[in-house]
Amino acid sequence: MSALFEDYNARFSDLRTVGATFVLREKAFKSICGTGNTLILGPRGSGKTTLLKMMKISAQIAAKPTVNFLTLKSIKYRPVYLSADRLFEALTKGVDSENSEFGPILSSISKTLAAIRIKFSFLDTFAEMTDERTNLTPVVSHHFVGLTRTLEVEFCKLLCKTWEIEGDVINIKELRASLFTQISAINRLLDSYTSPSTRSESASLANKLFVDPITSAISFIDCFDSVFPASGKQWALCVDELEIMPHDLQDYFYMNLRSTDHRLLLKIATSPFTSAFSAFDSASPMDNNDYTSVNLSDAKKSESIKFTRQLVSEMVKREGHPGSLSVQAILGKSPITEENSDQKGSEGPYSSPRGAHYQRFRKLAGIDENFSAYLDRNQVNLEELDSLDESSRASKARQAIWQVALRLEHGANQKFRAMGVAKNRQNSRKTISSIYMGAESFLAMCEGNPRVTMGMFRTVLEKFRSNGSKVVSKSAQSEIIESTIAKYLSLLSAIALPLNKNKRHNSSVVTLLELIGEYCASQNLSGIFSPEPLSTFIVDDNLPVDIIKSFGAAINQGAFVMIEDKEKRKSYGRLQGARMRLSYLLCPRYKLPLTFGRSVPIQKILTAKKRGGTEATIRIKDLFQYHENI
Amino acid sequence: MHRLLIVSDLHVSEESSSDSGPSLISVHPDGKKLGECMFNELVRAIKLEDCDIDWIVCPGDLGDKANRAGQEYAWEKLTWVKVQLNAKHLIGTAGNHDFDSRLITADFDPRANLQSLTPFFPGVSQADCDKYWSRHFCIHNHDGMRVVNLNSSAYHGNATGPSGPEHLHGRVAAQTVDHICEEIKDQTATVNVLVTHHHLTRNDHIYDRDNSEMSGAGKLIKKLTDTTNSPWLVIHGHQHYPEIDYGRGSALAPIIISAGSFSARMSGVHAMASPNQFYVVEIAAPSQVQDGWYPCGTVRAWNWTPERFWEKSPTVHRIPYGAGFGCRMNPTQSARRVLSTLESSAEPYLTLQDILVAEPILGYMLPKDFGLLVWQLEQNGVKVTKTLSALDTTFRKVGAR
Repeated sequence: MSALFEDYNARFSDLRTVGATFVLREKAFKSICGTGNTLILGPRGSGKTTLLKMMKISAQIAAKPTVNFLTLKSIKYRPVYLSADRLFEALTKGVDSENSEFGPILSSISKTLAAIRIKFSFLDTFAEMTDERTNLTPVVSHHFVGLTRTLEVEFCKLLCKTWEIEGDVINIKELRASLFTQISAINRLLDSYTSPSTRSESASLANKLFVDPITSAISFIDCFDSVFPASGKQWALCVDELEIMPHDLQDYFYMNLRSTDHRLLLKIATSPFTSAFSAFDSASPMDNNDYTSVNLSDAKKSESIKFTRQLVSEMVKREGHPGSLSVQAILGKSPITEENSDQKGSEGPYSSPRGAHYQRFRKLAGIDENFSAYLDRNQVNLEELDSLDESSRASKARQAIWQVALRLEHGANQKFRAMGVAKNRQNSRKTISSIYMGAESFLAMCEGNPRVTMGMFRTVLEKFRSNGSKVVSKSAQSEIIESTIAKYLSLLSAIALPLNKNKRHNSSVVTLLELIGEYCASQNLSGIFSPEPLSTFIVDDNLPVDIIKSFGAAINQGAFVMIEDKEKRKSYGRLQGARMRLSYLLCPRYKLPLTFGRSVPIQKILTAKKRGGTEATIRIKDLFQYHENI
Repeated sequence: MHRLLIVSDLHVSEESSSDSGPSLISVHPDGKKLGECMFNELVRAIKLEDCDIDWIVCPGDLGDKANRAGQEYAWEKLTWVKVQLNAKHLIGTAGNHDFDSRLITADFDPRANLQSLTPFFPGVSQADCDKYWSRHFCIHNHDGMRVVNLNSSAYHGNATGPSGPEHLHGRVAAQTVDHICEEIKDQTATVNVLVTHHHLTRNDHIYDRDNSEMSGAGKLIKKLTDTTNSPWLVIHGHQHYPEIDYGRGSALAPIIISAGSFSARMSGVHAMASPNQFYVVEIAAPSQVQDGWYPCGTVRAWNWTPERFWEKSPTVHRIPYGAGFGCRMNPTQSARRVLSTLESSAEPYLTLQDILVAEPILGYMLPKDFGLLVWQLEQNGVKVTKTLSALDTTFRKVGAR
C-alpha cells in the first residue's frame, strides 16, 4: 500500500519546481506578503512550505505568468527562507538529551546552529538579489541590487567583523566556506563535551561560540545597509516547519514574534498544535497585535474548494488533458450539493415532483416518523418549499439536506423480518454511500490540502483516462475514497492514545475518531430529527494532558480541524475550549455530513462510550477490509 | 558540435517493493511511478538547458537479469525521451544483463528479448540492427561523426572458455576488430566514438577484483587508433562507476567515459561515490582555442536526488556538471595560464568562469587534472575556494607557500 502523502512534498522540491507548479492561494498569500509578522498554520500537506518557499526570489522567477503579477510585485521585503532540516538532531543525536547536565549546552548549540543556518540563508538571498536574472525578470526586479567585486569585498569584510569570522575573507564563497568550518567546530565541541575529562574546557568554548540567531540576522542587515545605503528595505525571515525544530528553538522563534528590530519581519510556518503554544501567557505574542495568523486548515469551505479546483485544473493540464476539462466532467455532479440550491422553478432542487431535494424529503417523510414529526412541528409543507423566500427555505430545508440524505441512506429504515417480527436496520457501515460521490464531495473531502488533493486526484485522473475519458464510475470513486481513508487511518494509527492505561492493549487516536464518529452518527441517524447535524465537539478544559497531546498530533495530521470562533481565536494553539470537527475526508466512513453543525462536549462522547462497555478500537483487519475489494 | 545524451545501466526490474530491488525503477505498478518521474525530470532538466540533442546513447543493461518487461519499459521510455527532446538518433548496446545467458526465461535464445524490442534494438535502422546481431557491430556516420556500436556481450550464453563462463566478462573477437577496421579505413570522420557496454581495461584501482573487462580490448583500441590516426572517444557502462580518463596509447590515446548508472540501486563501498547520473556529452568543433588537442568537449552531468529531481552534479562527484576532456595539459602549464590571468586582472578575485573566458582551453581538462591545477596554484600562493558549482570556484593571489 503506497502512502497517502508520498505524492508531493514541497520540502523535497527545488525552488524552480515550487515556482513552476505554484497555485495561488490568494488570500493567504496576500496576507503573508504584508509587511507585518505572520504565523502560518496548517496540518501536514496543507501547503505551508510551498507558500513560504514561494516567497523566495528564485521561486518567483520560475513562477508561471498566471500567478498574480501585482501580488508578487507588492512584496516589499527581502525574503530569507530558513528550512528546519534534521541538522540540529543529526549533530546532537549522540548526546543524551534526557541528561539534565547536557540540557543547557544542547540548547545553546541548537541556537548557534540556527544562527549559522540563518547566515547561510541571508547569503542565499543576497546571491539572488545580486543575480542578473533578478534584474531581468520584471516580477522580482525591484529586489535587484547591483554588485561590484569591490563592494563585495567591502561587504564581506564587514560581515566577518560582525559575525566574528577570523581569517582573510573577501568574497561570499569564502564566507560560506568559513561558516562551514564553524559547523565543524561545533561537531568537535560536541565530541569533547560528551567526554567528562574535557567537559569544562568545552563548556567555555561553547560560550565563546554561542551566537544568537536573530542578532545574526540583524547584524547582516546592519552591514548590508552600511554598504548599500540607498536600498533600506525590510527583510523577512521565513521560518519553515517550526514544529520539527527543538522545543527551545520553537519557543525562541515564536516569542520573537513579539519584539524584533523593525527591519526584520518574521514569517513562521508551523502545525496548529506545537509546543510553542503550550504556555500562552501575558508575555506571549498576540494574534492581530504582534502578528497575523493565516490558518490553512480552517479556510471557508467555498475558499478551499475554489483552491482545490484550481489545483486539480493544473494537474489536469499537466497530465495532458484539455485545460477546459472540469472536475464535474471527470467525476459527475454530487447528489448532495449546496450549489444551485437557491434555484427556483420546475428545474429547482426543491420543486415538486422532480426536484432532487424534494424527492428525498418526500421519501424520508414516508419512512421516518421522526422526520415526519419534525415537518409537522415546524409546519413545513414540502409542496411549498420551492416558493419559500431564501431565509425561510434556508432554515426549514436547506440546513437539513445532508441530514435527510444521510437518514435515507443510513438511517434504520431498512425493513427486515427476524424471528417473524418486522424490524428496521441500517445499511452496512463498510460501504461508501453514493451521496459522497461526485465533484463537489471530492473537492470538499480534499479540505484544500494540496497533498491530499494530489494523492486522490492522481488516481481519479488515471481512472478517468482508463475509462476512455468518460466520467469515473461510482464504484471506482468508491474505491478511491475507501483506499484513501484506509491509508489515512493507517497513518493516524501511529498516534498513540493513552485512553485506557489499565487495559493491556494500546489505543491509537483512531479509537478516538471511531468514538466521535459513531457517537455523532448515532445521534444524527436515529431519534428526534434535527435539521442541523451533530458533527463538531468541544474539548473540555479538564481533559488529561496526554489525550490533549494525542488530539494535537491528530490535528497536525489533519484528522481534526479546529474551527475558528468569531473572535478569530481557537483555531490553533491551546485545545482546551476549542471546537473541532473531523476532517471531511473521514466523513464517509462515519456517515457524517460534509458540512459542520451542532457540537457536543467531548467528555460526553467519551463517557457515553464507557457506559456502553465495548470499545471501538480499530484493528489491522479493519484497515485491510477496505482493500479486499480493490 | 555534437551532443550525446548518455543514459546507462537502467537495470529496470519487476520488484514490487519500491524500497529495495536492483533498480530505482520497476515495472511493477507500485514502482513505475518513480520511473515516470525520473524520465519526466530528465526531459525537464535538459529542456531547461536549451540544448539540442543529436544522439541518445544507452551503453547497455536496460533491464535487470534479462527482465523482459524491464527491458521493454526502458527502451520504450528512451524512445519517448527521443521524441520529447526531438533528438536525431537513439542507439543502445547490449549489456551483460540484457542477455538471458542462463536461459531463465528464454527457451533457447539468450538474445530473444532484445531482438523482440520495438523499435528495433539497438537502432537505428533495421539494416544496422541486423548487422549488429550478425557481425556484433554496426557503424553510423552522421554529420562528420562516426559511431561504432560494438556488442561486447556477443558471446554471452554461448560458451564457457578457459577464462570461465563468457557471461562473466566482455569480449571483442580479433575477427570483429578486423572487420570494423576494414570498414572504417576508407571513410573519413572528424570524430570517432566507440559505444560498448564493458570497460576496456581492468579497473583494479577501483575494485579489489575486476575480471569483467572486455577481452580483446587492447587490440581493438590500438587498431582503431592506428586506422584513423586520431583519438577515439569511448563510452561504456557496466561498472556503474562514473569516471573520465585517458586510455593507453600515445598522444592519441582514447578518451574513456565510464558512465554511471541511471537508476541501478547502489550499494557497497563505492555507493557514496557513484551516484545515479546521466550525461550530455558535448564534443566541440575543432578550433584554434583547443591548441591542437582533439577531440575536446565538456560533460554536463546530473545526479538523482532523494528529493526526486535531477540536480547538476556538484564538483565533489567524479563526473561533475561541466567536466571537460581532451586537453592533456600538465599542472605547471595550466597553472601558468591561470596565474597570468590573475596578474592581468584588476578584480580582487576571479571565478573559474572569468578564467575560462580568458583561457577557454582549461575548460577541456579532466576533473582530475583540474584538481592537480588547484594543487599547483595553491603551491604558487593562490587561494582557491571550491564551490559545489565548478564555475563559481574563486581564485585570488595571496602569496606563495
